[in-house]
Amino acid sequence: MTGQEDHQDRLLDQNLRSIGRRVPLPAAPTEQQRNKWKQAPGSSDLHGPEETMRPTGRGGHFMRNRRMYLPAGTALAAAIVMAFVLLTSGRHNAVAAETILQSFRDAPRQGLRIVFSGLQTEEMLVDGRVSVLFDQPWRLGELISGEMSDPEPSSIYVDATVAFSEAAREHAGLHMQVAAAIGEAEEWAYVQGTLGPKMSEELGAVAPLAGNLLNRGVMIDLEGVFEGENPIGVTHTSVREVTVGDGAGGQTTATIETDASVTVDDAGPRLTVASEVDVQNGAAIELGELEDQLEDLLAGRLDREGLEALVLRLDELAGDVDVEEVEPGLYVLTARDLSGLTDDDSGDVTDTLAHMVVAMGYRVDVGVEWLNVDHLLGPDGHLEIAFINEFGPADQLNRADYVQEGVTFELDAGACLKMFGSSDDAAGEASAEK
Amino acid sequence: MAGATHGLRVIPPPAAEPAGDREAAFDRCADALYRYFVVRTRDVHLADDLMQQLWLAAQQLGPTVPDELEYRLRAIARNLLRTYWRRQQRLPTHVPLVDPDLAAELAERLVSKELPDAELCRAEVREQLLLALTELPAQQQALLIGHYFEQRDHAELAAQFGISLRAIEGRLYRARRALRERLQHMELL
Repeated sequence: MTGQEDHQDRLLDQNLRSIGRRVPLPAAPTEQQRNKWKQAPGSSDLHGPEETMRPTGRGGHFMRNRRMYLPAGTALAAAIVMAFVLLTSGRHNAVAAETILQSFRDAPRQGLRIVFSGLQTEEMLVDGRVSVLFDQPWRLGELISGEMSDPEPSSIYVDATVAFSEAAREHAGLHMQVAAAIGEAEEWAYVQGTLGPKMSEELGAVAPLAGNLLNRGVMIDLEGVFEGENPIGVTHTSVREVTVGDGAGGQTTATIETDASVTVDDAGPRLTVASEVDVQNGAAIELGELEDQLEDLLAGRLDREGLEALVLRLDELAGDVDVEEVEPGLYVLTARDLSGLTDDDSGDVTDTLAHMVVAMGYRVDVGVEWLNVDHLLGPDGHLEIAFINEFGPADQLNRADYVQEGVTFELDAGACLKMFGSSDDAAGEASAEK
Repeated sequence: MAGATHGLRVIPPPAAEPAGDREAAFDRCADALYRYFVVRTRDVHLADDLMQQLWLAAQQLGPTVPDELEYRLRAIARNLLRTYWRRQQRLPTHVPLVDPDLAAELAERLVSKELPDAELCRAEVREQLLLALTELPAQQQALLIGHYFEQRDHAELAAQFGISLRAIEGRLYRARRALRERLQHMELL
């Protein structure tokens, strides 16, 4: 130890003595507590990583009805509409409706944090979060009116678990945790889980190796991977048919086609989701007209008469609404029982909407900060969208949290690409050496 | 000859911990892990629940070599906590959060001068110190807590750990250095 190290250690020793006399430590666990830990039942209300990766434990909870897609897709629209209704109907005039509307439409946003948990459909259960910052501030009104093209994400953090139920045709039993950080500061992706029987069967002889790798977890370092001109990416097209009974023996069928693509090139990551709903036999949920009005509303095209008509129509829809000033300048608007949005007589959609709770936080001089939807797609479904201007502790992922030394397989994708570079590159390098 | 083939010496892997020792290994680091949860949640009931989850996870782990269990349980503990906050939808406002810049600054100040009482009493200082302390391996935590927070002298610690006075001094020195390094490189949850 050098003289300086010795001096520093003595100071550290003295300071720790002083701190130790002043700082109370948590009490040590009692013997009773220790015993209680070890008498834990096989599961609890907390869902640790192990449990979330075990789909069989949740298989019984998968939703059996695909009709719930429709309310899910319109929940956000409903939240925005309900906020407007409540604050223009004169019952709650603490915050000017115009101000809120304007904050929705004109406040510049830099990014979004989307948290979702317990979202269940017939085929899958999804939990996770996505935080994204865009390359430029964007305004909702300009996006909707087309004055501004879609902003492109500059940094993304994703952490999600997906578990497919036995009802999923192609991926039955597959469950995965996927995490990724893609941006200027870091570029990595992580995947861990287990193959289901269907995928194992499809993979054949490779299945044991793939299954083992997936089970151990794979951390892929992506640095240098996106420097080329050729983008990489995946596109997934999902087509779902949704059938709703009208209570009189008839049916309404809607086809929902969703295209989701993620591409990454030297300009950064891009996420595109487009969804199209084609209703073949009337609308089970009367949102078509309302969504048009909402679009006009947010784009500033709705005139006074249109607004009044909208308010009168929407004021009848929510069964229970309230606005509470939870702290000075912060208003939380909550709407329950949105069953008025549908005339579905079969009960499933009505029941879902009746249990849905939509909440919104509005801060004076800041604007709408967040939107929450509870009981979405089922009793445990939760969706939260928050507007953010920069990443905070709740957004960032730590690569080290996903890597278990000696267990996780680490792959340097950039180095692999260099090692197996194209023949053109190799020829170029060879000629340069000459 | 066992352990060698064609002149190449093959080092056998460390022997896996017998299954019966799993509980003892868990017990050795349980106090430190419980403290880790309590400091980060300020909720002893929640910490109890998380310890239950950790115990279940410990039982599900495959064979581990000695000392590996604590390392793996720490990783699981971090994930349990992250998952819990994620399911709560947001980080709470009432618990201490790692502030890497503040922690690094504290690491520097702790070795540059004797800090005044007023600074030592600051909540941020206490929080960053406890967050760093509870990330240390169980044995280093036990030494630092015994010596600085419970005011036990070297002789008492030597008796408690069953090692010589000189060994205690060496271990305390390494524990202090580990604490300082941890403060310098604190990472967000």
